[in-house]
Amino acid sequence: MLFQGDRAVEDATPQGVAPDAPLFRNVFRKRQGPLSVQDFLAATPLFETLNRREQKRLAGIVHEREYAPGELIFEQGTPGAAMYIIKRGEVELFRQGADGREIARLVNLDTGTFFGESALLSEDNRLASARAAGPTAVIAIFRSDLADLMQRFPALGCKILHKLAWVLGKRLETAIEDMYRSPA
Amino acid sequence: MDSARVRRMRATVLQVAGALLVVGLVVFLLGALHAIILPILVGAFVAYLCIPMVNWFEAKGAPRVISILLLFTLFILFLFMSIRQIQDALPDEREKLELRVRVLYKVNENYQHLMGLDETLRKGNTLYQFIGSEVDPLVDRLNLWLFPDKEEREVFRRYREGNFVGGPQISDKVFESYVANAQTIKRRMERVFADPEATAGAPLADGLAKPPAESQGAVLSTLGEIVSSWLVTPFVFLFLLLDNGAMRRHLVSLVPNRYFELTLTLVDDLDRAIGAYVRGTLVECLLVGITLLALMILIGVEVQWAGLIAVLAGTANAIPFMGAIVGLGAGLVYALLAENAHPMLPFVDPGSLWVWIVVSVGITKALDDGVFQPVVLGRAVHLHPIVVITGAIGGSILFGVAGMLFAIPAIVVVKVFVTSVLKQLKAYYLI
Repeated sequence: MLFQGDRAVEDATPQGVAPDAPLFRNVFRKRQGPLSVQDFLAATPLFETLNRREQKRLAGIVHEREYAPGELIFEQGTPGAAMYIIKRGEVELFRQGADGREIARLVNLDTGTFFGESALLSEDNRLASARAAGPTAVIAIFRSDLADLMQRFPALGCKILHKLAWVLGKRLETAIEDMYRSPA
Repeated sequence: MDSARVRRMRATVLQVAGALLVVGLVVFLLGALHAIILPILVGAFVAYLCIPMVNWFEAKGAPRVISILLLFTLFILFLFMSIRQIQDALPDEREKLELRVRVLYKVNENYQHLMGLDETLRKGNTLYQFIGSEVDPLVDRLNLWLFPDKEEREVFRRYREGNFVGGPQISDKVFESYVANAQTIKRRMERVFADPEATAGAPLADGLAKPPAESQGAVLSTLGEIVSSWLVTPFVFLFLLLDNGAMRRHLVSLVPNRYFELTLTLVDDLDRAIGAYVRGTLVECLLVGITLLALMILIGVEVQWAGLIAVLAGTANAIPFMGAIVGLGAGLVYALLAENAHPMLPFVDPGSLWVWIVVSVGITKALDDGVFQPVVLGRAVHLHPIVVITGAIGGSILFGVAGMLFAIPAIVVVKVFVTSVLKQLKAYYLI
């Protein structure tokens, strides 16, 4: 998991998604309200290539969580189990020292952004901690649930894995650029 | 500050009281609804086993609901056919009498042959001299238990004479067995009265004390109660499959954020371990049953009885060691009573069928230990034999035979749960 400045976050942020933006995806929608989980997933780059049926299937396995300001979403050094998409609010990513104190703020993420996606591929320990900066609602996707879904629907799996590879490639690209740009 | 402490104390008292209330309620419900706990568990268990099948159908393009309805129909059909089979298998009055007469005849015949007993039943071979005084009272008791009493003898006579309309007459063979049994009982009584000290306390000398036979009506009434409490099973099966994980997600949503990922990981660990154990055990039982069936048919056991022995042994094999014990027990009972053994192997002698039963069960057990278990179960949860035996006995005390079968999966759940909780609590820095 690499979070190197705002640019990586911009790459991973869904285009044109704001909670109050009108959506005309379905002209038969009767009620204009907060985005449904399915709409949110559709607007996330990782899942934007899925068709409506696949998005619905994916929406069937997610968990919705709410966090109070300052509450930890996950902690550095613990095994990664889920990826998160911010539905509402703001999340801080930071590094902790050996004594558990915050030593570096990596980035602040807001609505529509996703993080912790490398947990979808392996249960390696988290490289940073995530904390709610304010009242925050997230959508969590558990690795095993997604693996099970991908096994049942291989076409859906191919689309997600392709986008996941693309996102991780972008993260790596940004990290390498920053590494060469930063003074030794 | 004091008020804060009071508030904390009050909260603690409320939490403890709430927990006690919940525990009390659960215990009360378990006691009050114990009759449907097992049917619910069975429905959940079968649904759990069917999840991979539903997923497979879904992966092949079949809608989930259709797949579930298909499995549900199969499940109902299976239940219906099982109940019908049980009802058909329950012998009527005449069949019960015939069966008792034939079983007693074969037992006496084999016992006399094994012990080398003469016509008076007083002199036998070395084996009889060695254990005869201990075994004779048992055989006496068995004779009393199986031989028809006065009323049953009257019914037997009327069946023999064809006085009941709509039912076949009792055959000559059965009648001859009945006469032979009566003569054996008579000789046994003569032996007891001729030498009362040799069989002191023998039941024959105590009079014809006999437990009352269960009436057909009572059996049907019990069957009716069982059927009504098991009606819940197919519905549990259906709703759990249609639920598609929604209940699990709801339960996870109740977990505090701090334990969210931990809970997801734990549930996944449990699911994997139990799934591997249960499905592995199922395949192992199936292989044991098929192997025993093939061997039994080869040594001359009639197909329907070979099938029954294989089903019993295969099912019992879910409890480690029990498959071989049940297979051996059922096989030896068959060998004792068999009348029509036609071995397919030229070197198998129908007279020594019991030896070949032992050999077949031995081969099956060796294959199970050496091939089936390592290949099928692999690295699934391993339980210590003492835990298995204690668990199986405990399960049988609580829920009978079904409790015995489900005790081992329950122990697996507890073991995996404890192991995983400790591992994950450490990984998430909670201990």
